[in-house]
Amino acid sequence: MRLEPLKNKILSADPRLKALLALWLGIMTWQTGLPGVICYLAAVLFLAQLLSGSGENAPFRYRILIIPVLFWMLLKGGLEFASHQPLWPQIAMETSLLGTRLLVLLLLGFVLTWATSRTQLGAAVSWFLRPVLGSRSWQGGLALSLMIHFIPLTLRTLNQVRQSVRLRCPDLFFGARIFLWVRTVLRVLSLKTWDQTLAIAARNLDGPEAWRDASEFRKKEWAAGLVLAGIVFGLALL
Amino acid sequence: MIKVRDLTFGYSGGEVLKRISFEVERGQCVGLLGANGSGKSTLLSLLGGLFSPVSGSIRLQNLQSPGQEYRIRRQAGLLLQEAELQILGATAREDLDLSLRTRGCRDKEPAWELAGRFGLQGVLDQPVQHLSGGQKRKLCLAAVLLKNPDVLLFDEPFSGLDYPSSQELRHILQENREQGIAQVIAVHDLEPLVGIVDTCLILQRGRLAFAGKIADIGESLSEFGIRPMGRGFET
Repeated sequence: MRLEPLKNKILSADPRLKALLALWLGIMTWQTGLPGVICYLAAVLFLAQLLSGSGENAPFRYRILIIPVLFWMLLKGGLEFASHQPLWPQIAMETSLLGTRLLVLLLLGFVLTWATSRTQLGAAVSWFLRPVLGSRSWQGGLALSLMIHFIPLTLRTLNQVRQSVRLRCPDLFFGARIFLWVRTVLRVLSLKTWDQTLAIAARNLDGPEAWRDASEFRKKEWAAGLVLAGIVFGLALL
Repeated sequence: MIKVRDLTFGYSGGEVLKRISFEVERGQCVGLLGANGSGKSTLLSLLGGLFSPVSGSIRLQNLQSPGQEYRIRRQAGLLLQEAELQILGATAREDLDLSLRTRGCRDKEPAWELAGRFGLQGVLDQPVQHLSGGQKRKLCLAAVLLKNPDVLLFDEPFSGLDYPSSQELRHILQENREQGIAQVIAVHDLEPLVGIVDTCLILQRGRLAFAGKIADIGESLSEFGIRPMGRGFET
């Protein structure tokens, strides 16, 4: 089955609609039970597969999600075990529900950033914030865009510094290596943040003009979004 | 076009630039030279309206710093050394579109024309991290040129570029010059600028040590921490 047209439709859809749908799905994920969450997980996994198949996202390493999810599952399990009469089936049920919910939310975040570029998301956020922040709403859009822009830069810096510490200080004990690593990462990232601030100002992105949402309001697209929101709600009743 | 008078600037650690004065005319191309840490990037940032002078003044056409830095930033085009930080779009097309939006311009044709001029048509829809260093720099330059700036400021534009990309960049600088854009190009090596720049300014520890024609510098380049032209490295 050729999925390219569907992918293109998702990529070109109104960023405001995509952000709203992601928000709705996120809220419903936290409200619904395990069957509904499993359906959501299947849907976001499908979208992740569809959207991470090319370009900068490929190949996506799903294993990076496992550690945070396992950490929170273990924490939840441990707290449940310590605070109640240990009921194993109930603890297993609750921790797996939490794990699945976290997995859905993390994947949803990735899917949203793959489906919508950082500048489009920034413009969409600026649009949402306009009733609250008025003429300063563009600052929210710029902040979000920069945050997304900084994720790959930070990951690259973390990796480069880790390699440098490993190569230059192989005999240092673990604690000292971690200290060196954290200190160097903070120094490099603060310099990058300063340079980034200058770059934003030099590109004149520190003003409202760049963050005005240029998307047209397409009725058909929003109608389809409404149907999808209804399906998400329906699945929550399972 | 640019008039700098007794410009002094410093960070909390001390003065970086001391009593600098010079002028750049329309269509003039000026090379800003100096060893590492001599204050070239800081001077460019001041000219581009990113910082405000501690004392002295900068005049860019009818705008003056201190006081009108925000408007200067919108009139001058500044290209920083690290192109990656200046690109915020996910693709080249989106990045150029972002520049058009900052001007409130709905007609996108000038952007695609510039992309064509810089040989970027084929990569417009590629993720920006797939572009080469030269393509990223050209994209930044195209984005800046969409502002129709009267003044272009370049910080180490040749660093990290291979020979063909450097040649292309030299060609673009020549074209800008013919279009009457005043250009200030900060470099630590004079060679790529030969035949392009009219005047050279040499900074040494924050002071303007030389201002004049390349031919007048003679053998004294190495005294300012700059490699003499046509000379390799000593073995």
